[in-house]
Amino acid sequence: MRKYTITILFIIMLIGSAIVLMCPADTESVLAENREPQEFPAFSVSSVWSGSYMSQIDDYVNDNIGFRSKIMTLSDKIQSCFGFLPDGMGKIISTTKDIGTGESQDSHLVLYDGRIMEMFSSNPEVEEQYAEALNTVREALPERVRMYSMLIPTQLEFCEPLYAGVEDSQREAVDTVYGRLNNITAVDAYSKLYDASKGGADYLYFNTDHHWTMDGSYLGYAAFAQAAGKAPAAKESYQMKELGSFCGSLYLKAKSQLPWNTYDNMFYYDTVANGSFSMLMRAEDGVTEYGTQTPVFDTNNCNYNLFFGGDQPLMEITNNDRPDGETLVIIKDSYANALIPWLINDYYRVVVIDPRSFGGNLLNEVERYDADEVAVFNYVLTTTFSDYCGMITDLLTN
Amino acid sequence: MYVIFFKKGVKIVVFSSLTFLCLFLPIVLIVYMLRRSINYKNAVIAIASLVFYAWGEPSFLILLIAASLINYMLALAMDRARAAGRDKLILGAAIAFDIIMIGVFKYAGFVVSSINGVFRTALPVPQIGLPLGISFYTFQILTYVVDVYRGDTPVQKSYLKFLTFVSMFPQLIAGPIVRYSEVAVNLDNRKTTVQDFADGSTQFVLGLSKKVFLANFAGEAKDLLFSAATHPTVLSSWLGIIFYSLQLYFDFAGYSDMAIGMGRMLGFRFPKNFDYPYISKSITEFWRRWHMTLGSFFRDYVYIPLGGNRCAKWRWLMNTMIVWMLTGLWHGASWNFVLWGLYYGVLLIIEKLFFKKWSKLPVLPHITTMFLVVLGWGLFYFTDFSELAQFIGHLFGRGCELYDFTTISAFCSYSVLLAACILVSTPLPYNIYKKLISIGKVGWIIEAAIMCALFIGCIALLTGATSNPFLYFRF
Repeated sequence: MRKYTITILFIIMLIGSAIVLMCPADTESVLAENREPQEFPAFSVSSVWSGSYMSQIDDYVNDNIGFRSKIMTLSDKIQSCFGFLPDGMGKIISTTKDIGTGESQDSHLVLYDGRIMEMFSSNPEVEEQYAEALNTVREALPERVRMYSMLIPTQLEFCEPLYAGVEDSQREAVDTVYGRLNNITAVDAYSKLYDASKGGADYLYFNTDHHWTMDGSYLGYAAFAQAAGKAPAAKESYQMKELGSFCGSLYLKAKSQLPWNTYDNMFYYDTVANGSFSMLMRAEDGVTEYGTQTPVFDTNNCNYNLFFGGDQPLMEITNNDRPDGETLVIIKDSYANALIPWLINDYYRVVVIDPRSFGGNLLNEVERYDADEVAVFNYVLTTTFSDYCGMITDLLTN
Repeated sequence: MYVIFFKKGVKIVVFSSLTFLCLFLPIVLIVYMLRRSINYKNAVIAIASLVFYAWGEPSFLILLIAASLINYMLALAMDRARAAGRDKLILGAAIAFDIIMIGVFKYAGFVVSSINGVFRTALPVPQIGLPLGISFYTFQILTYVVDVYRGDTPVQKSYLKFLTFVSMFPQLIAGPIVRYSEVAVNLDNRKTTVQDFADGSTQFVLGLSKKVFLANFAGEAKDLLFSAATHPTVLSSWLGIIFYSLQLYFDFAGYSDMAIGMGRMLGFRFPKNFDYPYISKSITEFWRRWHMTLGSFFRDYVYIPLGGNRCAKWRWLMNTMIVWMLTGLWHGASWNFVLWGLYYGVLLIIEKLFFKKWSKLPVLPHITTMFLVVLGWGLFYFTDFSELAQFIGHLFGRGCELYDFTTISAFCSYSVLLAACILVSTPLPYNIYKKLISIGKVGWIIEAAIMCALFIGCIALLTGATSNPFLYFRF
């Protein structure tokens, strides 16, 4: 009896798994991972010879299996049985990090107190490259143009020592970079965020996303204003608007191992309500214009893409109420997106360049807009990606 | 440092992948069972094996076919030349061909970079991708030509049967190392009984579960603890190397179980490869239980021909060290593997000379053996000697804290897994399983339920998982 039962059961399981595979694809869980499902690959001799054809079939099978969402829920449940977490204690998980440059690094997340936080791992060699890249830009800019650099720390740095102690010091990394800058004004956003965190300020960073909120970015704005010798606008002068709840980019990475439920509330200070602004965006080539009416706050996105609809190669925001104002060119990663809305009332024009996608030449843009200032706003993890440093200097040679 | 690499971006189809479980295996089994003809069955296995191999590395398929064809012809020639006394010459040619082949594809880069390191030269280091499973199939081929020469087994006249032996997908890329003589009869005549299929499928599911439930997540815990992005502590170093030891065991033993199980379903009986090595009370016993087919290969084809232990003491010492250096080198083209092999050579010599009765003591021998084995996996893991030195320093508290939050987090997050791994490393769970499935009329229901739960659990854990190739593929 046993031998027949096991044999039949095994055959049923094999055929059953093949049938599940043949079932209509349940791509909901793939889309939730913020990517498109793998399509069945096109056959070519070269792709077969290189092995990529078969590799893509494996990916296709993985993405297109029937009932994928339900199967992955079961997978999460099984994985939750591998350990336990004492009440109130945090947890560290492994993942990978990609800041949109093509380079992927091993990374870790700290899950604690309803928050998912990136862990910083210092790379002194890349920190040096980062500072050198900024110095190279400085040297290439006209003497009259003032240049600023702001490195923005992440929230784990301000956690209690048990958790903050697991990562390398962001303060040291920021100081190392700032110490190497020549003729560039360092913006001390760190101290503002540190003081606010220790003073009990809440929700400076999102719980499930690696970015800061507009309350956090206001502190960056205040630090920049201080460095530039200007007075920052009062936060209270703008109306705060709430959009609703969302789960950020880190949530998907940590979802299967989260010991609690968490989410974020998307809100913004409407800094454009009382002004007249016009927006122009240019594509990767630095020439083609598109989406001229994309708003500063794209309220169709209830997530960090609220700000300008996400990262764009080049954005030109003109404050029509201040034709006599100065022009600021910003080289930035996505962290700056929540900061720029605070700045646009202080300038005639703010030009925002993303070195990861902009294919034009920085010096041409500085000349075209007759820029008075250039600022580099990045979050501290960019000092661990050497290819990002290369992209900054590429802005001079594109 | 020379690093073994597979071609970038190429994934290897493994037993623990959805493509294999949901497509490849059901199709192969159905096609295999369609006809009873042995030639048909051998052809199905050979074709399926070539497809399986080509799935990961189509370009190296040519090497596999060429190696099998050349050795097949040399063995035929050797058999014919026996009467003329020229068989030894042809054996030499076959062995030389096989050693040169593995030397070029596995060790060329290592040798050149070592020469560059020692003599401060700048010879160009060959960047040759490591053909999948080359160490396994080369050794299998060697057993064939040597056994034919010795007259232990008759020469195989059918190339299809020989190709079936060399390329057989269940054990093609990660063993166990099956000697030709162990399957020669099955290549000519075999049949799969319902009992064989049931036993084979059970072993396959148990092996798959070892890999998917235990090895993959022990590896995840190890990655968290060993990552360059986390600060090492004394406890994280120990916990990390313990998880790595468990990952290696369940990864390789799981693969072997799946290979043996599939072999059984196809009518073959492959030799056992693991026998609870982590319950060993001595290093000698550990190597009787760990990768048994490799150990027996080196014993029968290297150690004994060198003179074994029936010679002067200095010669025995030399033979032992040669065998263990080769064992280390077999695992990888890197000096840390050589060091790891020599480490075991020295331990075995010390054990045989000074600690013969040690293993008869209670508890302590087990602790010392596991301590040495786990330490040995440290040599195995770190290919960079400066990293290795740092790691050993961390194990004993040099330049690091006792523990930190990462250590506590990893321990808590994987504590149940750790306990399960340690338990399954012993025969206890399997003995309980055996008892349960032999309970009167409900035993088969219990077995069916366990099989079903494990298989569904494996499919769930594999869905959405990143590629988890077997660790032993790189050897």
